[in-house]
Amino acid sequence: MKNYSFLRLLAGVVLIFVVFPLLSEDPESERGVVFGSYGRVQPATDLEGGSPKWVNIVSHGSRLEQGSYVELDFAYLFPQSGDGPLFDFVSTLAFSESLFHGSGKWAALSTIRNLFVRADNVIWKPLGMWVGSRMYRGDDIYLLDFWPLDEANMYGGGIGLFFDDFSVEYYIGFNRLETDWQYQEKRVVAETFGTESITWMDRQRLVTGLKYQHDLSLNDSGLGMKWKLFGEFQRIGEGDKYLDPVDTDNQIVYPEDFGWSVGAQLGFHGFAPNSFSHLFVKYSGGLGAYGLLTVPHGFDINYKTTDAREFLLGFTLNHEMKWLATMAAGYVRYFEDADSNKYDNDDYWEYIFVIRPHIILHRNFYLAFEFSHQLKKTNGLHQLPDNTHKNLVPQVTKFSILPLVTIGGGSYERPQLRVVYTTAIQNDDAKYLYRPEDVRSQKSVMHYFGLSAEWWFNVGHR
Amino acid sequence: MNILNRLSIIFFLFLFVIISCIDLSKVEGEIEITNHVEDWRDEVIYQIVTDRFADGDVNNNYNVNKKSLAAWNGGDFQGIIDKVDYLKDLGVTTVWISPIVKNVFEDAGIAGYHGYWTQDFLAVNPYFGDLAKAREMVQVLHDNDIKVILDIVTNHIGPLFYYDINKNDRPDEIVMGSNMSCGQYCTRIRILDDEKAGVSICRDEYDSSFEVGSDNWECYGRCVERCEFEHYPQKMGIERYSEWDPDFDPRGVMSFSEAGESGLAPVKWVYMPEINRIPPNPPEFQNPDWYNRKGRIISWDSEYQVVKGDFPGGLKDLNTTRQDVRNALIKVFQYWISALNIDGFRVDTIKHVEHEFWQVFTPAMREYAKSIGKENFFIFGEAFDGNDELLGSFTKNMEMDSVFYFSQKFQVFDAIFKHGAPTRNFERLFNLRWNKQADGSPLPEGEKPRYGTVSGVKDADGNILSPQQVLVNFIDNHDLPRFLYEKDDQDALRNAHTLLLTMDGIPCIYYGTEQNFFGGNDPANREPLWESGYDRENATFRHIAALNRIRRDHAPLRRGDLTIVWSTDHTDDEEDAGILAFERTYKKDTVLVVINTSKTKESSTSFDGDVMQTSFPSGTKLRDVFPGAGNKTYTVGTGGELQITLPVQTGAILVK
Repeated sequence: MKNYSFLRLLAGVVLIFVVFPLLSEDPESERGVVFGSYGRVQPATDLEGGSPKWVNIVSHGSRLEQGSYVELDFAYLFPQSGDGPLFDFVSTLAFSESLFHGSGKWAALSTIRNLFVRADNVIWKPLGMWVGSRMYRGDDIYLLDFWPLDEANMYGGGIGLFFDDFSVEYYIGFNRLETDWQYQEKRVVAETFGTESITWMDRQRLVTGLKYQHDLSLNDSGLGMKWKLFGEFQRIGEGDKYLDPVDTDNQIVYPEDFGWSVGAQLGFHGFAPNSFSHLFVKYSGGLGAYGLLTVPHGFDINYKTTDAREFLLGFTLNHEMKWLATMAAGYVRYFEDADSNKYDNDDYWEYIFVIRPHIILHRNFYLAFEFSHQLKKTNGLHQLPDNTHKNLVPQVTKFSILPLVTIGGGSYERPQLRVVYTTAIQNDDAKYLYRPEDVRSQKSVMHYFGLSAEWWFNVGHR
Repeated sequence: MNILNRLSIIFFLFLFVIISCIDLSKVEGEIEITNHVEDWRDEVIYQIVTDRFADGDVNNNYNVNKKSLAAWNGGDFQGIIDKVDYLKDLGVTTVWISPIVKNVFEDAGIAGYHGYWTQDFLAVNPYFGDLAKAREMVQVLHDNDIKVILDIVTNHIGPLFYYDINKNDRPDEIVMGSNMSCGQYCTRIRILDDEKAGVSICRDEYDSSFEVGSDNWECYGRCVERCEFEHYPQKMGIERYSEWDPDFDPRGVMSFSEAGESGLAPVKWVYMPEINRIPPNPPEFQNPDWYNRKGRIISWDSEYQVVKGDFPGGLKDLNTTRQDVRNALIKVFQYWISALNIDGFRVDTIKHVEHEFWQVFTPAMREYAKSIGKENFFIFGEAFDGNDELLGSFTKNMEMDSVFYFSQKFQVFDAIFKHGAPTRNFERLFNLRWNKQADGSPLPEGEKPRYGTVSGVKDADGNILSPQQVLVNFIDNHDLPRFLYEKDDQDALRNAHTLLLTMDGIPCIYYGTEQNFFGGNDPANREPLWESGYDRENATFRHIAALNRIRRDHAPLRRGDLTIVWSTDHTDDEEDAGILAFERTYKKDTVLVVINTSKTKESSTSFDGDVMQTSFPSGTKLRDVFPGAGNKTYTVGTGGELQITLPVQTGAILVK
C-alpha cells in the first residue's frame, strides 16, 4: 500500500509540475489549467495529554471536530472549438487522516474522488453531459459537513438540460464496494498446480436518479428563491457469500434488493449580503435509507432492506450583517432498519442544531462562537454498567470559541486560520454509548483545543 | 434572525412530538408481572434449544455456520416469536427455553449455542436478541396463552479461568509433569459405593478395586499410601494436564513442576473478548474463593466429586456452600423473574450442587416471585441420572417442585416403547414414586419414601400439589440420543407419546421429536428445526397435536389421579402382551386410557379369563376419542369389566 500511495503522490507531482504547465492556456476564454483545492488541517489536543476525543452521537456532528483532509483538484478546461461543446477534464486526488508529521508514518490514505470529463453546449446550448467518477452533489449543510438531499458519489455518467432558470439532470452509475456484502474472491484449484483467485460474489449496485431545479428571482434587489425535486432509485443483484470455514457449503444467499429516495429543497438567497437559507426534506426506503458507500445493516429475514426507512428534515442558513455573520444548521432524522425488531437500538430519531455567530472585529479577524446541541433517541434498551437496562436519550451540548483570521468577505470565504476551543458536555446516557473501557464513558465534560486551517479555492468547476 | 428563530421553534416542537410518541413501557423498567398458570398439570411443555428452533433475525448471526451442529446456527427469540403459530398448532402450552444469559461464545472450536457456559449472569446473549426482545418474546407467548420456563445454571460458570498449574502465567493445553506426585495420581481414583457392605470401593483408573474405605477421603489416603509404596508415577511416566480442565484433586488443583508440587494452582481469569471469554459478571463472581477449584469430575460415582468438581469442559464449579455465593445466585436469578415475567425455572445440573443449597435457593425464588405478584412459580430440576431415589431426593424439603423424570425416561419410554419391556415396569415405577414398594405394597417400617410430599405449586382449587403430581415426563431431551436414533420406529414414538400425553404429570416434548428427528448424542440431537420446514402434516406432528387437543378437552387427562387397571409382564404372544391401561379421574369424571405397546401383535385387556376391571358401572357407554378411532363405542360389562383389543402400537382413550 505504501508503494501505491507513493505512486499517487508522484502522479500528482508530475501532473502539477510537468503536465499542466505544458498544456496551453487560452487567456481570452479563461479556460485551460485549473488547480483547486479543498482542505483542512486540524492539530489538536484534549488538554489532558491526549489526542482529541470526538463525542458526536448523531450521524453528522459538528465539523469542528474532524481529522485533517485535503482534496487536490487538477482540471483542464479545454478550449472551445468554434461554437462546439465545452469539455472539462476534472480530477481530484484526496488524502485523509494520517499526516507524517503527526503520525511519523510514511503513508497516507489517498484515493481519487473525481475523475471525469464533462461536456456542455453539446449540439444544443442547454445540453450537457458527463462520464466518470464524480462527487455529484447538491447543496450541503456546511456546519455538519453533510449533503442532506442529493449526494451521489457516482461512478457513471449523467446528462442534463441547463437553462437560465431551471435545469433537469439525470444520472446513472454503479458501484461494487470491496466489502463482503458486494464482493468476494475465492481461492480455487488452479488448472495445474496451486490455487488461483476467482471472483466469487459480484453484486453491483445500480444507482440512477433525476433532479429538477428551478431558480426564481423574487425582486430586483437580489432576493431569489430556488426549489428542487429529487428522486433516486437503486438496485443490487443477488449473490452468494461463503462463510468460514470455506470448505463447507455454509453460505448466505443475498437476494436482489432495491432502494429509493425522494426529496425536495427550498432555498432563499439574497435577503442580506452573502446570505442564504435552505430547507431539505428527504424520505428514503430500502437501500436508499443507507448511504451509497455503506453496507446496510439490520436486514430482514431474507437479507433484504425493503422495510428500512429514513426520514430527514434539515436546514442550513447563513446571514451576514456588517458586524455579525451567523451560520446555523440542523436536522432531524429518523432511521429504521429493515429487521422486525420493534425495540431496536438500530432504530432511532436523532437531531442536531448548531449555530455559529461570527463577530466581525476586523475585516480579517473574526471572533466566532459555536453552540450545538445533539440528541439521539433509540427504540431499544441498553444494559448499563450497574446491570440495569434503560432506554437511552443521549445528549451532547458543545460550546466552542474560535478566533479566526480570514481572507475576508464573510463567513464562507476561505482560507481561515483558527484557534478552536470546544467544551463538550454529555449526559450520562451519552456516556453509556461507549464501552466502559473507553475514556469517553467516564467523562461528562470533554475538552478540545486545537489550531485549524481550512481553505477552498478553484473548486467551482466540479 | 426571524427565520432562524422560527426554524428553531419548529425543530424543538417536532422533536418533542417524536420523542414523546415512542412507547417503551412494555420493555423498559419494571414490567407488569402477570399470572398465566392455573394448574401446572394442564401444561404441555415444549423444550426449545433457542439456537436451533427458528432464525428470525439474521442480523445476530455472528460467525454462524448452519452446516455444523457444533457451531452457532442462528436461532433466536425473534424466531420463537415468528413460530408461535407452530407451537399453537402443535398444542403445547409452555415453552422451556434454553439458557439466555451471555455465554462464552466458543471453546476449543465448539460453540456455546446451548447456553450452559455462563459469562454474564445478567446479560442477554446477543446471539438470541436483547432484553427488549426477550421481553417481547415472553409477552407474545403469554398473549398466545403459552407460558415460559427459563433454563438456568447455578452449578458452574463457563470456561472463564484456567488453573495456572505450572505458574507460567498463560493457559497451557498440555502441562508436562514427569514428576507426578502420588497426590496427583490418586485424584484418578474412582469411588464406588457398595451399599450392602456399607463401604466405598476404591478403584484405580483401570477399574481394578484395590481397597475399601468408608469415604472418598479414606480411599484417597489409602491410594496415596499404596502409590508411594509402589512408585506409581514413575511407572506411569509423563502425564498430561490441561490447565483449562485438569482432573479432580480433592485437595484442590495443585501447581507443580518437575521439582514437585507447590500448593494450590492460582486461578487466572483470561481476557479474550473476541469469544467473550472474559471475567464473569457481576464482578463479585470474579472472586477465586467462590469456586471449589478441585478440577474436573473423573469419578461420577463419587458424590463428593460430583458436587465439588468442575463439570467436564472446564466449567468451573461454584462453591455454593458459601453464603455470599448463594446470595449472589439468588439475586441474579430473582432478577430474571421480574425482568422477563417468566413462569418457572428449569434448573440445570442439580445433582452437582449440595442439597443444602437448594433448600435456600428455591424458597428464595418462590418467595420473591410471590412478592412481585407471580403465583405458582414452578421450579423443576435436572438430575441427569436414572436413579429414581436420587431424583426423588431433590423433591424433599421443597428443594424442587419437581424433577425431570429421567428414571421414567429409561425404565418406561425407552424400555417399554423402544425395547419392548413389559408394561409392568410402568406400574413398578408408579408405585415407587408414590412411596410404596414396587409391587404396590406399603413400604416397610422405617424405609424412607423416595419423593417429597409437598411442592411449591398449587392446583386450580388452591390445594398444594405433591411433587409426584407434577413430575416432568419426557421421551427426548437435548442430552440423550433421540428416541428414533436407536430404533427407527415412528409408530413406537407416537405410541410413547400416547402415554406421555395421557399419564399423570407434566409432559415435555423436545423440539424436533414432532418432526421425527433422529439425532444421536450431543450435538447430533440438536438439529435445526427449520430443516423440517416446520411440517405440520407428518403423522407424528398430527398425532401429538391431536393428543394435545384431547388432553385439553378432558380435564381428567390433565389433572386426574391415575389408577392402573392393567399392566402385564407379558411381551411375547400372550393375549395381553404389551397392554397398559389406566384411569384418570378428576372430580368424578373418569377417562380410561389403554395402550398396546406390543410391536408384533394386537393385544387385549384380558388374560387367561381375567378381564380388565374398570371403575365404570356396567352398561356405561364409552367413546374412543383416540386419534383415528372414529369415536368407536364400547359398553362396560358386568362389574365394570371391559375387554378391548388394540392393534399393534396403538391406543384408546375412552370417555363417557
